[in-house]
Amino acid sequence: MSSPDLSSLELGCEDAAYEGTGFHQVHRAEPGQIVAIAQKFLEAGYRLEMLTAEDRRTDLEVMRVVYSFNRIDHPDRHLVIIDLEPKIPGAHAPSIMGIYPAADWYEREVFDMYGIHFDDHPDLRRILLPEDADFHALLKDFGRIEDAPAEGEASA
Amino acid sequence: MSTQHHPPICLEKAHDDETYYLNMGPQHPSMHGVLRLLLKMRGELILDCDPIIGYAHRAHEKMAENRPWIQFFPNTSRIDYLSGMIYNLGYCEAVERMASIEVPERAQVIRVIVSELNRIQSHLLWFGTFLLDIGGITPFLYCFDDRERILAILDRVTGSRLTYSYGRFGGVSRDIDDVFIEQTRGFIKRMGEQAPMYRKLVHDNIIFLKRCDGVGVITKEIADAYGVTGPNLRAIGVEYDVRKAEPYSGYEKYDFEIPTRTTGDCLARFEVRVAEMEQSCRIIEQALDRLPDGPIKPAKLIKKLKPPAGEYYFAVESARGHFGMYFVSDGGDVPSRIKLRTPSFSALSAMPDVLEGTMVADTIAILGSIDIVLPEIDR
Amino acid sequence: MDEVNPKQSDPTPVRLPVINPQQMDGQIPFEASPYVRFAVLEDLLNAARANSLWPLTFGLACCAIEMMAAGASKYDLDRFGAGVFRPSARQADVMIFAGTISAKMGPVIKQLWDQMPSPKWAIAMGGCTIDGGPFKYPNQYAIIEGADHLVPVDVYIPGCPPRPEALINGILELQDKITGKERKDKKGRKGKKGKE
Repeated sequence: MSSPDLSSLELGCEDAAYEGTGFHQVHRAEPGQIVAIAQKFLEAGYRLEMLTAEDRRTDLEVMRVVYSFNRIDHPDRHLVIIDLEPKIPGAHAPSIMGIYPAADWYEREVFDMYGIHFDDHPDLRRILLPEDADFHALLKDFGRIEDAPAEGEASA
Repeated sequence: MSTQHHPPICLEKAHDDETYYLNMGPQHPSMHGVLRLLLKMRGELILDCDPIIGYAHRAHEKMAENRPWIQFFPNTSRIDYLSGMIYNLGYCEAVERMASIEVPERAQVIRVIVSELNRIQSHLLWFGTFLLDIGGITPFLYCFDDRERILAILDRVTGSRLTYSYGRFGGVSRDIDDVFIEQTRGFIKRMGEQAPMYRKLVHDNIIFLKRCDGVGVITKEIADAYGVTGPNLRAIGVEYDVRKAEPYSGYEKYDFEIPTRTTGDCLARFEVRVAEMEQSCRIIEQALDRLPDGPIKPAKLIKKLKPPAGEYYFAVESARGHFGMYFVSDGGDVPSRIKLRTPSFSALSAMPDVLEGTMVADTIAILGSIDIVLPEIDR
Repeated sequence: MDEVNPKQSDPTPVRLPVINPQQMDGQIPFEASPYVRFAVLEDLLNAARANSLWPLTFGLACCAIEMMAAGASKYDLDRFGAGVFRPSARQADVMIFAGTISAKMGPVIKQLWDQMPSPKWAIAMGGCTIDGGPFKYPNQYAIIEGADHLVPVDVYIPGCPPRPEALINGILELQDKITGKERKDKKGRKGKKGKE
C-alpha cells in the first residue's frame, strides 16, 4: 500500500516542493471531509504525525486546522488544511480520534490553545492550561505584548 | 489492548470498595519533571491512568509569535534541555531550509559532532536516572562522571553546559580547535571501554532483570496509533530514524547502524539506548576524520529574515525521537506560527494504554524507560 | 593553677589542667580550650542546621539537571552536608526551586511549602525563579515570574542554568546566613566579600 487514493474525495491538491517545504503534497479540504480523509490515510498505512491549528482570523478570515500524515518506511508527508469559521467560540471540526488515537491529546491541545471544538471527542478538556483558565492562549488577540499592564500595576 | 479513550476517571463512581484513586506527582522523586498521574487502582493493580500535564507550560509557541526568528534561539534549547544542542541546531537547519541558506561543509560536520555528543550525554543521564528510579544508586554517579567530561568539552567551545545557543543561521558560532578534537577523541576512546562496563554493571542483576524484562511492552499497534518514535519505537523492531529517513546536516555520508530489538519492553529500550551510544561514538569518529577546513558561518551573519510565505516542516532525530517543527510564515520577519511536535508528547499519550493492567511499582520502571522530559511535553 | 603530678597519682602521661572556676572570670583558660566550649545554644543549633541542610527533590525544569549534577560525583554536594535529598516535604529543610514556576504549579508549591516544617529556607536557583528569566516578557500568561511571589526566598542564584559551582556557592551563602557568621578558610581569613 502506498499513497492513499484520495481522488474520490475531490480535494484541492498541490504538489509541494519537498526540498524547500518538507511536505510532499498539500491538500485543502472541507471540514466535513476530514474523517474520510483520515480513514483513507489509515488504510494506506500512514501515521498522524502532527495536528495543530492556526489563528488566521486577521489575514485570511478563517480558523485553520492542519494535519500532517507521514509514513515510517519512506517519507511521504501530506499536509491537510481545513478552514473553519473565524468565530471563537463557534469553530467546530469533526474529531478524528476514533481513527487515530494520537489525535486525542492533539485535539485537546488545540481546544485548550485555540478554543476550536472537536465534535465527537469523548473528553475534550484542557490539557496544558489550568483547568479553570478562562482564556485560549494562542489566539492572536490574547496576551499581546501591546496590551500588557503598564509598569507598576498589579500583575498576576 | 484497547485504544479506546476513557472519560475522566475522577468523575466515575467507584465500582466496588476496593477501587481507589492515587495521585502520583506533580512533585515526586521519579516523575521526570512535573508530571501528575491520576491512577485508578484496585490494590496494586492499575485500572486506568490519566496523565495530567501542563505543570511546566512556559508558552514557547506564544513567545515565538512575538519575536523575530532569530530571537527564538534561547527557547530552542530549553524545550528539551537534555537534547538542547540537537534542538538548537535543528531549529537552525529548519530555518535554513525555509529561507534557502547554505551551510558550509565544516559547519555541517561540527554540527554532527556536537549533536552526537549531546545525544550520548542525554542517554547517559537517562541511564543514570532510570536505574536510580529502579533502585540502583551507583550507576547514577558513574554516568554523571562521564557526562561531565562531555559537558566540559562542549562548555569549552560553546560557553554553556546545558542550554546552548551554538548555532547561527548558516553555520555555528565558534570554531573548534585542536584541543577540542583531542579531548573528543580521548572521550570516544574512553567511552569504548565504558560502554561494555555500563552493560555489565546491570545486565546480570536479578533485580534489574525482574523489573525490566517483559515489563511495559509497547506493541506496534499502540506505537502506530499514538505516533511513538525514537528508541521506544526501535525497541519494537521498527527501524525508523530521522537521520536515515530524512537526512540532514550530511548524515547520509556517515556509516552507522540503527540498533533495534524486538520485544518492546523496558529491557529492550535499555539495550537500544546503550547501543545508540556506541553508534554515536562511531559517527563522531567518522566526523572527526572527515572534518574539512573552511568557514563555519557566513561572512555576514544573518539576523533578519523574511522567509517566503507558506507552510514548512522539518524534523530532526533527538535523543527521544522525532522532533518536528512546523513553521508558518506570512512573509514577515516574525513567525506566524511555530508548532513544536515533540516525541515525549506522543510517548506519554500512549502510556494510559501501556499502564493499564500493570502494577504501580512497574509504573516507575515503565515511565523511566520511555525517557520523557516534561517541558518538552508542555512547551 | 595547680598541676597534677602524673608520676605520683596517675599512670597515664596526660597532663590535665585543673581549673578553678572562681578564677576564670568567664574566660576559658587556654589550656582547657580544646576540651571545653561555651556557646549560646542557638549558635550550636544553627551550626547543626547549616551543615546538614536536607533539600527537597524539587526539580521543575532545566535547572534540575544542574542540581542533579551538583549532587553527583564531580561537584559533590554531600561534602557540605546538603546531599541528602528528601522526596517528602515534611522531612526537608530547604526547598531549592530549580526551574521555571508555571502558573499551574503555583498552588502546588504553596502546598509543599506549607508542608515543610520550620525552620525552613528557600533557594531560588536560576533566572526563572528570580524574576522569570528567559521566559519573562510583558503579558506572559504562563509563568509566575519569580519564586518570591510565593515564598520568602533566602538566596538567589543567577544563571541559566547556574553552574553546579554556583549552586554550591548558594548553599554556602545560605549556611552563612543561618549561622550568622562568615566562612573562614584554614588560615582564619574571612571571605573576600566582606561583611554584608
